[in-house]
Amino acid sequence: MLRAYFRDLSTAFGQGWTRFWFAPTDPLPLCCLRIIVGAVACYSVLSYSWDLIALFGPRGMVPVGVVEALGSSDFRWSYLDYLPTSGSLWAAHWVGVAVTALFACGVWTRLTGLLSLVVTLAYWHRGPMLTSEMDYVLAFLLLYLNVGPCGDYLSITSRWRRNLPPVRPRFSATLALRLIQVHLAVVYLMMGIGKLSYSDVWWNGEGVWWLIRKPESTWFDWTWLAGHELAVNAWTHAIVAYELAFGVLIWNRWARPLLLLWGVVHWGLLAPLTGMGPFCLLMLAGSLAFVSSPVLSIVLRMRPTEG
Amino acid sequence: MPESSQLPSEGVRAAISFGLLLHFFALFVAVCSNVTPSALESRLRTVPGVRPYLQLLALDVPYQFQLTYAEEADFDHFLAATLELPDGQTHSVRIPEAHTWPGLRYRRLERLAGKVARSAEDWDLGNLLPQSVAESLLTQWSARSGQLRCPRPDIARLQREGAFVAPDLEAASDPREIYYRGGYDARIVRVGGLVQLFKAEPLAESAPTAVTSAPSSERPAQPPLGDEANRSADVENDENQAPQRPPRAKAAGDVP
Repeated sequence: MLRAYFRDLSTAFGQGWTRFWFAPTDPLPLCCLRIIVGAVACYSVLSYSWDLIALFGPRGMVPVGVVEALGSSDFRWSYLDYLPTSGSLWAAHWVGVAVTALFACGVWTRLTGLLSLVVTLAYWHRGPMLTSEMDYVLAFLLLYLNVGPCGDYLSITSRWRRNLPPVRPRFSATLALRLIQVHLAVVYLMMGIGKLSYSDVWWNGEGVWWLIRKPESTWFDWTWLAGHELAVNAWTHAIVAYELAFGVLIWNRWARPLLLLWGVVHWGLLAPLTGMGPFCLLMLAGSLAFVSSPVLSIVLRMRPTEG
Repeated sequence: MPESSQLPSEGVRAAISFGLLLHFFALFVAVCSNVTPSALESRLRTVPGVRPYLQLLALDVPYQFQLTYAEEADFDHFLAATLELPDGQTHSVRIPEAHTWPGLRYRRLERLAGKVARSAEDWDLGNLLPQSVAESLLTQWSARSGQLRCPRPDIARLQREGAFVAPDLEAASDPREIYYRGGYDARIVRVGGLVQLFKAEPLAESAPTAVTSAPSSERPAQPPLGDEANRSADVENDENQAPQRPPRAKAAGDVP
């Protein structure tokens, strides 16, 4: 009996594993993600333009030696380390901007996707003290986009190859989307757990108020909420509840649509509150991995694929 | 279950599944071992290939994004430098400026300022980053000397005021100044070809009090506070004078 149980268990697990990771799906959600993630990657690299030489140039504020000495990471590699002159830095910088822009537009996404990852990580490793939450999320989303066919739709390349056969569901799209889904669920769960583990303000309902009191970060003046303590408490608890709920309930098909809608409100309010627009946009965009292709096809008024 | 014709071959599936297991093992290690790890979790980081894989791909993160700890570390930092130009004039630089555009640029520079603030007070990290920032500023503006400040958020005041009291933002020209007091303050001097930082100790730290004063011989020699011109002249006369080490202080740590 025990033997039969384990035989059935292994069979069921194997079938479930195969279905979860390898059942072919349409890559439309992946392609939508590519546009947003590529655009944020381009913006991220572009945002260095104002201070490129002041930060990384000869006698810049963040010399390679200091980055290595501070040792935030034992293993690092950046092609920016090997560019000693301002001219070479500028050339590499604009190539990086172009590569990420091409990826967002969907030009040779297999190549530009890989190069976008290299470019983004190069800046990350060149100035780790300049990175924020957004960079961590961007790194894994770019990594996983390289796994799947993220250029099959909504891309310049797909426009060029109109005479080719239509896009069909592929297992590599499933693989990429599942990787994003699992990683994102882990991130949400850890965000929720982290808030409750290390700070009282997320327990006592003051968390949002402390964010409001960072006047330089918020997009608007939220201090009028000072007279609405209960609203601030509710918002604080809602943030934690959403993060914990997303990590667990997003796998339930009934709860998923509600969580995705709640996510629009959650991130839509957090962006102006924290001033972390790109981070909030990436987290919201990551949720696209949980939206089915037929739903996206309806929203985008596209014809769904065969299969 | 999808038809087998739609699936990749068994060999491909096995290879990918093995890769997935390795990837998620590494991710598990990153999430578990970056914040107060157990001995076992720390040991897992030593599994060959795990750290290079995580660090090179920027995956070595616990993902416990707090947004706020209600601590100093998560308040916006900025650097305020006053540079003395060769023509005798002074030039003030703020990094980041109050309304730096685009927002991501502000965020990056704010992170840099925060790192300077923390490393300046961390015995182990020393003055490496503040020094490179100071040197860069002097070079950029062709200045010979100056002052580098990195104000600290006045958490005590915030906590004293309690929650749900709106700050009076109109009271200051720069809203950041309202809740920032003291912090890192150093004199930047170019001595020969080298840029050196001489940290100004807060009065409470440097001036002996009547009750608990230590003998003056026990205190390290420090450049005098207040008279900037005399201090810089003293420093320039003594090119071998080492910069003051910052007091030992626990680093606030990175807040991802």
